[in-house]
Amino acid sequence: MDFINDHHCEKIYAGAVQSVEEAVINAMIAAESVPTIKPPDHILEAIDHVQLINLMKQYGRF
Amino acid sequence: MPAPIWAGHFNLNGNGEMTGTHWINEVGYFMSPICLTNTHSVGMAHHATVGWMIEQYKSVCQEDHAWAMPVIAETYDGMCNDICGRHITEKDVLKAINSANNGPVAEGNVGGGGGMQTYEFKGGTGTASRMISFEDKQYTVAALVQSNFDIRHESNILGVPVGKHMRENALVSELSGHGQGSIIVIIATDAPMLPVQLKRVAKRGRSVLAAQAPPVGITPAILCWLFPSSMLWIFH
Repeated sequence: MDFINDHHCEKIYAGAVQSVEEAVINAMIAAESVPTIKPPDHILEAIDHVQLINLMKQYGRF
Repeated sequence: MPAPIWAGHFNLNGNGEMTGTHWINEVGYFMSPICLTNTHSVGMAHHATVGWMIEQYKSVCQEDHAWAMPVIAETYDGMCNDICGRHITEKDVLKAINSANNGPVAEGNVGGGGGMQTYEFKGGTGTASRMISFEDKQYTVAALVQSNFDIRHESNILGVPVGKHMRENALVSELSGHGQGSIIVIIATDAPMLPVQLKRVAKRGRSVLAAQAPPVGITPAILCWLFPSSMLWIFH
């Protein structure tokens, strides 16, 4: 059976960590606001894209 | 049964369910669909997936003694979904498994991610990948998350303290007085790796909390799962 040399695991670790971090952000960016059911009559808001981009620009990250 | 796929599993906090992982930890491989759903639908998802496997691998399951122990994982969406109504049916699960396909993965309010929250913003299903190369070969590492964790003020994106600026509508803590939730992380790679190596990568799935929200409280459950394949099954 084939398997990578342990020395290369760090590259896999880095790819995994970056992917997980980005996946969480992507989940938030792609999501849309939904109403609540318990308790009812509230809205769980999706993150505001324009507000987020402006904030990123403010910190020089966009 | 299909050929087993090497796998490793890690959980940071046991407040969560991911079935099939006793076997993964024992032998370092698995051979089932992976289904992500809400907390109260784990049973139905498991039941339906076993049924799918019995039908799919009829000769070894029905004429011989092969058994099915699928991987089903959950997060809690009771604020935005009638989770106690247990509306997911066997038909829903079979439809999801049978419609799984190659290509771009839908994100946001899809599948099990429909009712989830992240940093008190709407959360859900997300995915991302990286290409890496060594020894003149290129590989892909990819993650899929069902993200449903944490409190607004801990939100941090690329080092920017997002939660300290975007403080409006932090609904979960407004309603419950504290943050709550968990995350399921599934990592896949086409790099050939041993189960012990895969388990080490699975442990790194927890870094999402280290990078974005330092404290690890009682409720956030992190269930990480890694297998070397590009196939994922997801459903709501």
